[in-house]
Formats: sequence, structure tokens, C-alpha cells
Amino acid sequence: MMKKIVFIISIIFYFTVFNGCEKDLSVSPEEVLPKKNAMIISSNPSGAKIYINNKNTGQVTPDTVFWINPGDVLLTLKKELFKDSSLTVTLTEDDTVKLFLDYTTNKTMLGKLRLDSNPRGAQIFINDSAINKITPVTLEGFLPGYYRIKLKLSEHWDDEKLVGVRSVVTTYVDQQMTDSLVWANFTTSRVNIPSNYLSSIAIENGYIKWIGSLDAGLIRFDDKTWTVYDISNSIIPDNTINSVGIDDFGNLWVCTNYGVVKKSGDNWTLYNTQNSGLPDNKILSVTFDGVSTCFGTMNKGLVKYDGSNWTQYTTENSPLPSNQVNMVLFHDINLWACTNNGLAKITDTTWKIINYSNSSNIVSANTPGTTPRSFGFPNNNCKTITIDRYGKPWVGFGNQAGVPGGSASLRFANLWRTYNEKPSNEVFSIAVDLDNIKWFGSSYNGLSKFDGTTWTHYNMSNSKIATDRIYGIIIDSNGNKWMASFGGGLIKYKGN
Amino acid sequence: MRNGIVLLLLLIISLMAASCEEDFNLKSDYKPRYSLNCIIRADTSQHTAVITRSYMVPGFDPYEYTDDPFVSGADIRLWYKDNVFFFRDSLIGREDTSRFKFPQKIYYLNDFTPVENDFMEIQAVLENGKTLQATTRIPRRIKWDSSSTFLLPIPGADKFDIAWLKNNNIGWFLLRLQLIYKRDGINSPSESAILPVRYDGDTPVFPQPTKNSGITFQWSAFERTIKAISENVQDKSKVIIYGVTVELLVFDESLSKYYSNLNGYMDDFTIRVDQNDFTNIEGGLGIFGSYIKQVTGMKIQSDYIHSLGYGVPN
Repeated sequence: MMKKIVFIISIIFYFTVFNGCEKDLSVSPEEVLPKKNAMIISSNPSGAKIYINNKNTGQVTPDTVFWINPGDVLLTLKKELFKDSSLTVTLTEDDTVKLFLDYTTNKTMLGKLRLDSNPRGAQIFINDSAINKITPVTLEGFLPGYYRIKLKLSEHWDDEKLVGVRSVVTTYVDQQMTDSLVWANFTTSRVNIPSNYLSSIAIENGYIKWIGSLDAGLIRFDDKTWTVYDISNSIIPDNTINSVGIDDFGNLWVCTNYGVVKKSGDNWTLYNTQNSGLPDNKILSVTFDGVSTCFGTMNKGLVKYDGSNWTQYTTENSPLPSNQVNMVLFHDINLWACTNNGLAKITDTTWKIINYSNSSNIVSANTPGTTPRSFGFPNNNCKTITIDRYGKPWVGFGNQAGVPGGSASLRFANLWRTYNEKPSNEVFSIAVDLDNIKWFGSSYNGLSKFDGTTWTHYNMSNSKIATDRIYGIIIDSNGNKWMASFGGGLIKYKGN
Repeated sequence: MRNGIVLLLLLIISLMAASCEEDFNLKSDYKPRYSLNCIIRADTSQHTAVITRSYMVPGFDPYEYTDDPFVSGADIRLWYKDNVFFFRDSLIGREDTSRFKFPQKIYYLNDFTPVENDFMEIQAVLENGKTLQATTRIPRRIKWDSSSTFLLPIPGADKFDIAWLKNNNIGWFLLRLQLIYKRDGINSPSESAILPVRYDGDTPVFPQPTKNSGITFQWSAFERTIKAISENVQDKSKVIIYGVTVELLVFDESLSKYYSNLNGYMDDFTIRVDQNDFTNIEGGLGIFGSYIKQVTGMKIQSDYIHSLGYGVPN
């Protein structure tokens, strides 16, 4: 009995000793921090994006990527225009691997460049270096990248563009060369003209072009050199030029919204409301008759200046139909004033106002949405005027109150013939060449020609003209048409 | 023999009483844990992130700890449409310096404006290699429901609704209506008063995050608020009422789950993750989420404004 008791107590003792303190304790597993593996990656050329296991690291070569888990790692380098390069790298713990990719020695990275032109035979320059080849040609072994390709062809404008050559594939460049003998577009991307947004043009001595710009001041072009006169280097008060004119003594007049500037040789004189009899600083146009200079203003009518006296004509003190005078023109004994309320013809002290109502004795009407009438002014918004070789006035009209503009010429007596053949509505400028052919610049429809019977239209879709927005035209002594355009710079047309 | 048995029993009892004795400590061994908080807003190009670590305090009051728990030197990247944006660290002033005396450290990202429904991933690698990462998708914009009231007052009505059309059934929203006014004429500074949904006695009850598609405001609460703005104003006619801005935060899935879990108050900039165990950060704690703020206006009829003695802008 006692032995049994001792045995039982021994068993209890045994379990007490060995199991009594056993306890289940729940603990979070020890966190294993990653190993500081690193890949030091560089390339030639540098700047390749580094992808690890198809994920962009946001880093570019040369750089070091840390904390990459051990094992097989897919490294991809991506560089613009180059073929992607991938390789698998096996990293052990606390491993640092150096990797270098040389794109330049890998022939599979190279690309081809196919160059062609119309017409063919243009000399090829790559990054300003002649390669002594002409179009068409296929060049192989190009390291991917951007190259400046210039094509030069006799009697054509040089053409230059930036071309990206890619790995493996052939990059095609097929360039339409612009004939410099017929159309020449002088734009900021091709020449040193400071702006493509021009308002007006005048010619001195038959070849020096004086060009008014809308945002870069006055521009002089002598067929070789571009010279800019603006508020930073001259007394021109504003870089927006409304119009330019050259008087009979070779003086240049520059009309701005802050007065008018006279350039006589190297002498510049600014006339404004503060220092002269000008009633308005906003001068839209200027004309000369050998004795007087006449200005059309934005708000204060017509102003004559005879060198000492300023005489103002407004709706209040004269028959002038509006105080906004878009253009003035002296011709023979007449002074013509285009306003937004009709045309004024002033002969000595006699005024004649021609407008929509009295410009035709044939009863017909122009109303919005209907067929424009053929006789009489299309509306009263006179924009420009010129006189042809036979003394016949031609007037250009803008749109007005929904009625399209166009152009009109005096047939006889009081009968004006209206030309509103599309697309020559909104005529902003008219020039007449030696053959009495009239050239019309319109605000949206390019250049139009009228030989007395046929109209011909030149626009961006059927010619090399740089833009369809022509604000000013003048014809030089060689018969070249020079156009100040909105957006297309200075345009020269040599055709007849 | 009996004495032997007695001794043996005493030995057993002693062992049982003493063998398992141990010091019990409520605090376990300190193991740092890290928290990443970053809320991307689709209505701004500036974003911030904060990484903090857990800390041990001498006693049991966490406010005894006044060292900076901010984790510096982390490499935080945001993936967005195969672009990678890097956060930089900076210091900003701290308004409440009662506990932490030093400026607030943050990570910031400028010039980044995500678009609705776009996916983003954030990854923060700490100096010891510890990685915290999470994803979010910017929520879609909502359309206001035509049952919403955008002109007050509604004749004869004792309440008005602001409602919207939900894009899904998991999104949560936070609505805030602010009365905009000037207290002392046109040249005085603009002020605003947040409109409560209702009053419980004298206690205003403001809109809470909700998964519903609209909130009803008691007209009496609105009237009480608009009348209260002229308290202590001698010349009520100088009070100018401009209207009410209606501002709705549309939360992404992560923030919606957070609010579903917490259903607590949040302002525009604060997220109080320590109140709850919710996290969507892989490898740590915190929240990475996004929301879109949509704002529109509610007009108040000038006749009503004049009836209160107030003015309207010219």
C-alpha cells in the first residue's frame, strides 16, 4: 500500500517537474530584414531607364539600385530609340554586382536611315557635316538618336529637320523641297525674321523691304540681312506695327497704337498726342502726296500734316462717314479714305461719300445668308483701296454684320462692280502689277489674282504659300509679289 | 516512511508553488514597427507622406514620449502610369508644440496631379531595407443627384437634401456645407460657418463620413447657424451673405474601408490610424489612400437674406 502511494506521488512529482511550467505563448515571428544587395548599373550612352523584374525603378544609368532580394533578378534597360536590353542576374546575400552596357558596340542596336527628296539629288548634311551623298540614299549603321538632317538643292530652299533614328528599323525621310524661284516663305524656322505675324509691307529703292510686325517691331530686309527695330533699340513706342509707308523723299513712316514714327536716314522722330497735333495715338495708315502726309486714325478721323500744321477731319466737322479710318490713299488730286462706314473721296475741298446705298443704281440687296449682289458695295466696311493702271479704284471690304466682304471696282459713273467670288471675301490688301493684274490678299483665303476676266486663287492646298492669311501685299520692281502674312512670315511669289 | 511521504508532498507543493514563478511584464520586448501614411488628393498637385516608427515609453503613458518618431532617410517612390515620382523630405511648422517641440518632418511630392480612376502604387524603403508598400485607385467623380437642393430656402420645407449618384457600393463620402459671409461690410475678410445637419439640444451635429448617397439637413439647423453669425454684431446690415459651398470628399476603396472600420471623424488633412488597427500597408501600418474633392455652390435667395437684416453682394 505504502509502495503504491509512493509510486503515485512519484508520478505526480515527475509531471509536476517536467510539465508544470509548460505554457503556450504566442509571439510574432522574428522579422527578417532584407539583405543590402546592390546593383551598380551604368551604360554608354548613359540615361537608360532601369527596370528591375519589369518594374520601373525611376532611376537612370548610371545609378545603384539597393535592397534587391537575392535570387534571379531580371534587369532591363530602356532608352529612347534604343532596343530594350534585358539580362538575368543572380544575386546572393549581401551581394554587390557591377553591370555595364555599351550600346555603341552592339551592332544589333544600330538602325538605318532612308533619305529621299522631291526633286531628288539634294545634298545631305547630318549634324552640319556633309556626307558627300545625295538623295535618294539608305544609310546604315546609325547609332539610335536624334540627328539634324539638312537637304540642299539648287534653286530650292534648304530644308532641315530633326530625325529620330531607332534601333533595328529603317527610318524614312521623304522631303518635299520648296522651289525658291516661285514661292519663298521667309519664316522664323528658316531665316532670321523675328516673327511670323506681320501686318504690312513697304519697299524702298525697289528692293529694301520694310515690314511691320504684330509682335516684334519693324523689320528691314535687303534680300540678305534681317534687321529689327523695336522698343529695345529704337524710339518705336510699341512692337505692334499697324502699317508702314515711304514718302516721296524716302522717309519711312511707322504707324503704331502709340503714335507714328518718322525715320529719315538715321534720324528718328516720334509724333504723338503729347508732342504734336495728332489727335489720336492709334494710327492705322499713312499716305503722302509730295506736300502733305495724311493719317487715318482709329477713333479721331483723318489728319493732314503739311510739315507745320495739323488739320483734323472728323464726322463732326466734315462729311467723313466714320472716325475710324482704316486706310488712306493719295492718288493724283484725290484723297481716298476707307472707313467702317463707307468710302470718302476728297478732291480739294469737295467730299464725296460712297457707300452701300449709293454705290449702285441697280436695285439689289446684300443680306446675310442670301446671294451677294453683283453691283454696289457689298457692305460699308472698307478696308483697303488701290488704283489700277487705268485709274480705276479697287476697294477691299471686310465682313460686316453677317454680310461677307469682297472687293469692288468702279465701272463708270456711280456704278461699282462687286467681286465676291469665293474664296476672296474679307480682302485686306490689293496690289496692281505692271500688266494691270490685280492681286488680292484675304484674311483667310490666301492670295487671289484677277486679270480682268478670270480669277485664280492660291492657297495652302494648291500652292506653296505658307498661310492663307495675307494682310499686306506689295509688288517690287521685278514683279515679285511680297506678302506680309499672319502666321506665315514674309512670303514671296514670283509667278505671274 | 510516513515522514518521508510528508516531506515528499511538501517538496511537491513547494515546487508547484515556486517553479513557475516569473516576473510578468505587460510590455514585451520592443520591436520597432513602421507606419506609412499618405493620402493622394486629385484636386491638388502637392502631396505629403509621413513615416513614423513605434516607440517605447518609460511608463504606460504614450504622451511621455517626446522624441521625434519620424523616420528620416526613406526612399519613397510613387508609380503612376509607368512613371516614377520620388518624394523629398522637408520641414514644416508645427501648430501644437505641447508634446513635440520641433518642426514636423514630412516627405512631399510636388507637380503631380493624378486623374480619376487612375492606379497608383507607393513604396517606401527605409534605411534598414524595410519596405512598406500599398496601392490605390483614384475614385471616380460623382454626379449630383437632381433631388439635391441648390437654392435655399424651400418654401414650407423643414429640411433639404444634398444627394449624389454613387459609382459603386463600397465608396464612402464626407460632405461639408459652409456658409460664406462677411461680417463687417464688403471690405472685411471672408468668413465661413460649417452647417450642421441638426442640433441635439445646443450641440450641433455635423455630417459624418457616410456610405449613403445623400444627407438631409434640418432647415432649423441652417436658420440657427445663419442667425448665429450676427451675434455680437451691432449693425446686421453690414453682414453680407455670399452663399453656401457644397464640398464632397469621395474616398477610394482603402479610405472607404478605413471609415467603414472606424466611422470616425476626419478633416481634410488628418488621418488617425492609431485609433484603430486598420491598415492597407504591406510590411507595416498606416494608410495609403486617395480621394477626390468636388465642390459646387448653393445659392440663398436674396429676399430671405434681407428678411434677416443681412445684405447681399452687389
